Amino acid sequence: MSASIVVQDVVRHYRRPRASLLRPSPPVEAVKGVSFEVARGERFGLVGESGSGKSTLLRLIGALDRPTSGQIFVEGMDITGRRERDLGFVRSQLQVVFQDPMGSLDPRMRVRDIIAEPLVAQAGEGSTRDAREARVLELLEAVGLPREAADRFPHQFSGGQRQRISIARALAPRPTILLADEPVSALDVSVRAQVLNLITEFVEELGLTLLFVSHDLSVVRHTCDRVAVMRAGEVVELGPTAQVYDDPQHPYTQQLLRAAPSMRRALRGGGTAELVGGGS
Amino acid sequence: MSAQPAGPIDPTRVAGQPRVRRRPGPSLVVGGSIVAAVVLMALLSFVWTPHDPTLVNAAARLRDVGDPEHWLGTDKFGRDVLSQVLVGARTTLFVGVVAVGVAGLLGVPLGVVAAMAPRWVGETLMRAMDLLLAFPALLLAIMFSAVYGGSTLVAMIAIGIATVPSFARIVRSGALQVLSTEYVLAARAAGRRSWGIGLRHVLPNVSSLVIVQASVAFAIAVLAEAALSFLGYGTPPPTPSWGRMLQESQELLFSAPRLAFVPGLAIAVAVLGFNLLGDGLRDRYDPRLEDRR
Repeated sequence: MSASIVVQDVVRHYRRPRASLLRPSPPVEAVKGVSFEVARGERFGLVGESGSGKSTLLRLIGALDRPTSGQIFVEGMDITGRRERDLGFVRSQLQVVFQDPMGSLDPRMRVRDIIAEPLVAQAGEGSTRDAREARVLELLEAVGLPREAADRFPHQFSGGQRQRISIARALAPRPTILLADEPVSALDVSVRAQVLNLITEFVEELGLTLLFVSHDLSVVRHTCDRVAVMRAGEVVELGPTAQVYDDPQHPYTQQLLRAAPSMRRALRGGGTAELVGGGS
Repeated sequence: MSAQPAGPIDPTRVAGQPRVRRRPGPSLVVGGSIVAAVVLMALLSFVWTPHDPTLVNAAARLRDVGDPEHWLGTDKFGRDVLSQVLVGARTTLFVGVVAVGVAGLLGVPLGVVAAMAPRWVGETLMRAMDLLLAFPALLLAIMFSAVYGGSTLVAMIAIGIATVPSFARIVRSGALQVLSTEYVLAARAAGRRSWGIGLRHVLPNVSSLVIVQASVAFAIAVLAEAALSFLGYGTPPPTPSWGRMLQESQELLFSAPRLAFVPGLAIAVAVLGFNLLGDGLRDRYDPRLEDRR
């Protein structure tokens, strides 16, 4: 099994605005020296609390940001240090589903144009208006939205429906890799499972490689084969999901797992204080 | 491959069919009506005026308001005031369209470029805008008139250029906001280049800001034309203009105040109309208010 995504020693620093005349502010080290590989067809999870650098890493892999140092390979191609116009390969192979179901859809665009956007932007030969329209309708049906949805605007949909539109857009150019940045964390618990199942169904049926970023441990467990635990810009533990969850090696992972609310503890009568204080 | 249906789409917000629209707010109605009235006056003046607005009639000098032949009276040359007001509306609209057109055509692209270009380019552009902003619009117009000769067109191009910074700034700040959204990130992930993002995402999403700014700039341009004509740098005689009517009335301000009152009222109401229209449009189309509908 060959690697779909290879991340080698990737570092991303952000400059902070100068606070002193005498010395520059120390840079924010969002990602500091991360390496891992995701095999083709694998479902790979990145977990960690907010600020651990997991979303930054996802943007780097999606070629939406440039690493300060290190290299990233997508399907064997080095994507670091390339100009936007040379990234066509990545854009066609790799698509992203973002977290915010409202913010990731242009409020001024009709759903038809949103879903067709990757097709228009990457239009090659044989991309006609009719072909795109057919693809849009096909995708709408696949994500469980009615055809009429194509003529509507994003604000006319619920959060879960918007996330379905996002998924349809991501699948439009027939990518081989799907990056999902907390795709269900902004949704009501009741629709989370639906959207999550939709993603995993597509990943399975289309044989996609999935990189799934989340702070929600239960969601990752449900979705992923392997998982990397991030903390303060570093991967502290990496392994098969079951192993990491059942037998965590790193103290931070153990703490994280203990802090996650569980049904058993809730039923036992544990209050919020116990759940939150679980890590001490 | 099909998924379970995602539930009904909110039936209260159905596009395509007659959409459930909010009633337009009062400022939109009032502002829109005033602007429509000004446009109608201008259009009417092409086909009908009570008298020739430039006809000097010594026999009918300084008639009062309510005169059966001259409803709004006549000025010191016996010219019909109502006819002048009607034809003056043309000048007013012409002035607004030219000034706002110049300002928008230059300012909007500048603002978008300043937001999307590398930081130093954007900063340089905006400092240049600040420089222009520091220059009083009327002074610029007077300079232009001195160099290119006084005409409505020259004065309004000058006012337009002086208004470019306000468009560029508003568009830039709006564009920066748009560029920080996830849908722009999604567009990049979809493979859109800068041009596509600028045209397909940034421009549509700042358009409401531009419309609001245009109506406010329109009002400012109308005022500026009046001021310039009053100073003798704007519309040259004999073309009727509300500003010049005001200027010509000043020597008779005490004996015939109505001559100042009529064009003054026309200017004030027109400016109010454009401002109200701008307010109303903002309330209706500002994307940041969209969710509160």
